[in-house]
Amino acid sequence: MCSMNNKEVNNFENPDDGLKDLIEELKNLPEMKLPPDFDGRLKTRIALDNEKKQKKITPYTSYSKYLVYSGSFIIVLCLAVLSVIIFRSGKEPVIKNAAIDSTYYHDKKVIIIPPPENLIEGSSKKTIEKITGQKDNKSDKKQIQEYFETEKSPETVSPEKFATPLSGPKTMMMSKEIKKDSSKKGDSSKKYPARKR
Amino acid sequence: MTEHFRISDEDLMINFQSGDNLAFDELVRRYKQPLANFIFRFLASYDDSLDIVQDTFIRVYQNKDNYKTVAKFSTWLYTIASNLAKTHLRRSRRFKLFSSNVFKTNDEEYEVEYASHDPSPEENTDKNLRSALIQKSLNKLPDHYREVVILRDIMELSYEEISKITKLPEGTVKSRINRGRLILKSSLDAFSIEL
Repeated sequence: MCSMNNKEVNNFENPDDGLKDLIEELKNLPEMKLPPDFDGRLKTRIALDNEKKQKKITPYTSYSKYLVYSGSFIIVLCLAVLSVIIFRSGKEPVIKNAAIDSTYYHDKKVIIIPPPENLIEGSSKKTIEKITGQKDNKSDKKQIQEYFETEKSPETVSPEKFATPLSGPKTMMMSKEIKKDSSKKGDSSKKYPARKR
Repeated sequence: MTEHFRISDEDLMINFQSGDNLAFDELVRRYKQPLANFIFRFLASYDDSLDIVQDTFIRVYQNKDNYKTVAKFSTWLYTIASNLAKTHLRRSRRFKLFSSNVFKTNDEEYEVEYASHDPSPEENTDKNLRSALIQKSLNKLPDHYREVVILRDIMELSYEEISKITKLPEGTVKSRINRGRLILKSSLDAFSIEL
C-alpha cells in the first residue's frame, strides 16, 4: 500500500520529532479485524440486491377510473340534454309579430289582428310600425300589453277586421264580442291584463 | 487466483466489467482490510465500519461500468468509501447512541471501540490503552482534518491521490495534514497528562 515518492518525503516530510513519533504510532495502530464470514455476507448482499432489481414490478393499470369518468360524463350530458328539453317545452312561444294577440273564445284560440296604422282612431301614441314592424328591445309580450293599454275604447279597432280561429271550423266574429268574452277567461286575463276603460 | 494476483487493479476492473466475477473477488480480497482500517479510524465504530465497507464494495459492483481506467482504482474506491463514511457520520450525529465501551477520564465519557470484537476487551494493556487514546484524539479532530491525516499517515497514500479523493488542491491537503497532526498531538498530550 505504500505509494509515497522520494520527492514527497524530502520536500514536505520533515516533521518534528514529536510529530514523527505520532506518525509512527498512527502507522502502527492495530488493524480492524474483519469477521471470517465477511466475504460470504458480501456475496449474499450482492445476490439480494440483484434479486430486487430483477423482480419486475408490473404496473397496476386501473381501468375503473376511466369507467367512472365516462359514466359521469354521460350522466352530465343526459342532464344537460334533459334540461334543454324541459326549458324549451316550458318556454313561451315567441311571437314574432308583436301586434298579433290571441285569446280564447269557446275553447278555440282566436287571433286578433290590429288594423293598419292609418285606420286607428284613438289616443294611442304608439304607431303600428313600432309595434309590428321594427324590432324593439322590449319583449313581444310587453309590446302587446302596451298596445292594449294605450287603446282607450274598443271602437278604435276597425270593425272591418275579423278575428279568425287558428284551429277548428272557421267562425267569423266581431272584435267587440271577442273583447267582451276575453275578460271572462281567467287565464288570458293573466297574460294580457284588461284594458283600461 | 494466482493469475489474478499479478494483474493490476485496473486490469482486474476491466475483466470484471467484461463479466469476470472472480476479478471482483480478487479486488475484494486486496482492499477489504485497508478499506476497513480507513473507515474504522474515521468512524470509530466497528459495526458501522463493517456496513460501510460492504456498502462500498456493493457500490463498486453495481457501478462497475462507471469506472474509467484513467483514474486509479484505489482512488475511485476510497472516494466511494469516504463519501459513504461522511454521509453515515452526518446521519449518526443526529441520532447519537451510546456504545457499551466507554472510556472515562475526569468525569468525561468517551466512546471507544476496539479494533476487534474479541470477547475479552477488558484486557487493558498499555498498547490497547495507547491505541484507545489515539483513537479518542482522532475522534476529536474535525472531519476534514481527520480524513486527510488517516489517508496520509495510516493508509500511506500520496498527496496526489489524497487530493483526488478529497477533491482538494494538493496545497490544501498538505496544510490540513500538518494542522491535523498538530491538533492530534496536542489533544494526545492533554489526554496523557490527565491519565
